[in-house]
Amino acid sequence: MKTRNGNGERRDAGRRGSALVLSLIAVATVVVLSASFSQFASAVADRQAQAIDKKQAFYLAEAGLTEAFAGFTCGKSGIVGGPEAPALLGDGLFWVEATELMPGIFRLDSTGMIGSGRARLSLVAQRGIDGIAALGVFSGGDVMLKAGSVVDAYDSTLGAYAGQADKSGAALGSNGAITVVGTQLKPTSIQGDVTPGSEETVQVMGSVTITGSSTPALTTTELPEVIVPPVTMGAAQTHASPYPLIVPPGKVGYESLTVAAGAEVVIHGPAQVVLGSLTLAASAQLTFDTSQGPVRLYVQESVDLAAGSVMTTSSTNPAEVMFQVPAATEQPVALRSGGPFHGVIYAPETTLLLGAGFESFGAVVAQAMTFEGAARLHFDRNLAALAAEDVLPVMLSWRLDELGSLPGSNPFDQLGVVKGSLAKPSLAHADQTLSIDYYDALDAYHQYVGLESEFDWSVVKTVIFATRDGVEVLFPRATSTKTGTRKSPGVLPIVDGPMI
Amino acid sequence: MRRAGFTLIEAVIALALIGLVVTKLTLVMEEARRAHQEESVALALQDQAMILLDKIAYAVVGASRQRLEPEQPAPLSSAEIRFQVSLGVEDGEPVWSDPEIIGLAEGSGQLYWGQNVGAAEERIVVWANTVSQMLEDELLNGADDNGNDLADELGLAFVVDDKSVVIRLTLENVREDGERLQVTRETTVTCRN
Repeated sequence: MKTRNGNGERRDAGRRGSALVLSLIAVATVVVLSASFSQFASAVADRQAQAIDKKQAFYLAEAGLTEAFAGFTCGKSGIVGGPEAPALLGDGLFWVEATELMPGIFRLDSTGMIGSGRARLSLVAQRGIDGIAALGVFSGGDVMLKAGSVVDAYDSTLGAYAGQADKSGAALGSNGAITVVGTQLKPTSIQGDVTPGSEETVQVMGSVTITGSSTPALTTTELPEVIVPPVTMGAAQTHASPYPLIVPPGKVGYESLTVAAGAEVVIHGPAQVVLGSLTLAASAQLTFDTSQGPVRLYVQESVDLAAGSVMTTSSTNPAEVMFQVPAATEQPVALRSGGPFHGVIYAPETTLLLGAGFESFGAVVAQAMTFEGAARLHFDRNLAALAAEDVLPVMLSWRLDELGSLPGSNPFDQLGVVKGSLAKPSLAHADQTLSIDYYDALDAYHQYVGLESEFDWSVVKTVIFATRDGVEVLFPRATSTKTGTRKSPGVLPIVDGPMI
Repeated sequence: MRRAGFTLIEAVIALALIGLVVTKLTLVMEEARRAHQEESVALALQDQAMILLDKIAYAVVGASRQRLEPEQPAPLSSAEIRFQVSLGVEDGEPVWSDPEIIGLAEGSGQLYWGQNVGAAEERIVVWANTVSQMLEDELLNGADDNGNDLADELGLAFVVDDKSVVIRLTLENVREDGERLQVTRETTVTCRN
């Protein structure tokens, strides 16, 4: 501070600027504190921005999995975009790669990127299967029904077969010809469709009632192979005791199972039982106890259920018992036992020999079928409803593989792609060869074979049959169920060219 | 006549004024320093809470409902969660990780993640040591004091309801003046497997 006395002389110069120094110290202190705080706040903000980018990248990757899985549900490959042309979603991008781990099982790897965030998720899914039980009664070869046969249907969810008035909805199909015989004394009744192979016919002899259609199938029906679960096989079992032999729940295997006359074997579910061979002597009994869970029985070499034996189930729900013969057998699979048997019998590689005393409630599907007497086959319509659910793919595993951030990076620069040129997710699915038979809005029958990108889906009213890259597309059926094999429209199709 | 120096009164007044200014400045600076520390601690605590909650959520999200315990629907809660996450599929069957655990060490405020706990190949990593003993505004009295439908929940609380896991976390730090600063965060995770 500068002051002068009355004579104009300067006062003590040593005290000049002391207040300024103090002020500067105070200001400097506040500035240092503010700077350090803003640096700290900025570091926190950066960390939080990275955390948000990571979270958004996570959800982008998950959106990729959802898009791929939705495509997978419609029979697509599951591939969506790629690192060179990812799908654009908001300010981020993603792509999904698909790898087949084993037949029908795929791993989808989805990568999502936005800002500095990058996430990679993987999902393993099993393709849906066209439930064979929905085929009803089906044979790969020719079928001949003898006089007095009954092929009809019921709904197991409504109670027992005997108490139901509505017996319609049965399906008898074949890849070969079908011959149905009836007599005045022993008329044959089929309460539903009879569908021979695509080039075959139904031959009716005598007194026969068929309530449904007899037009041939659109295509040959391929019977999927049976995958036998890995089970440690135990020694051969011969059971002759008056006390029942209990096969416990779980995975069980025997080289063979022979049940002597008067003896009983009970298989308790939930179980997967693998047998080399199965033999029931006359008056022997095999019981499937499904009170605690379903039973899946696989017999690999031979089946001989003698006349007078009994194969029965504790439940009247056929979905709970599956009797499968996965491979060809030297002798036909002999089912001469009595019942009642509620279940699904599936033998895609061998011939079934159905005895006169055999009666099935559920479904019977085999490579070939021979009837020793009149057939008594009662299809459970509920199996068709359950089969519609089997068409959907199943997720087996979901995994977070990578989650990180690279500060200052930009996914578009990183991948060398232009944001404006990227496709939206629904258009980023990998192109495939589509083969489709369908009805248009006027119910005209069309056929198209070519790239899916050149096909206009808006002209389709109903899909009859479709494949993508040669693999049948199993469309989820939300409102109706399919029973039996696909029937031919009976007219020549209009062959479509590229539409787009 | 030239007068040198100050009179006593001038000197006293000057010293008093200087003292006043210095005191004020000291108070201002102390206030600024304290505000800085408070904000820094609060910000750091919030940052840590967010990062921790994300870390727990990302660890649990790959778990399966069948491999998640204990099941504690509200008003019950647990300060630890045991789970296994899916590693993929082999021969058509899902493969699961070794058993993992995330929990709160009693009394120490330590939040830890562990794998194979109790086994020879045990791994334990402490993720934080600032977890409050009880969740914010909760007292150990059998009642729901903080209105979140849980009674007596600890500073880390898991509520498992089917495939959903609700995670609540309170972190705390003690300031220089002895006052406790608490930050509470909550999130819900749906297990994907």
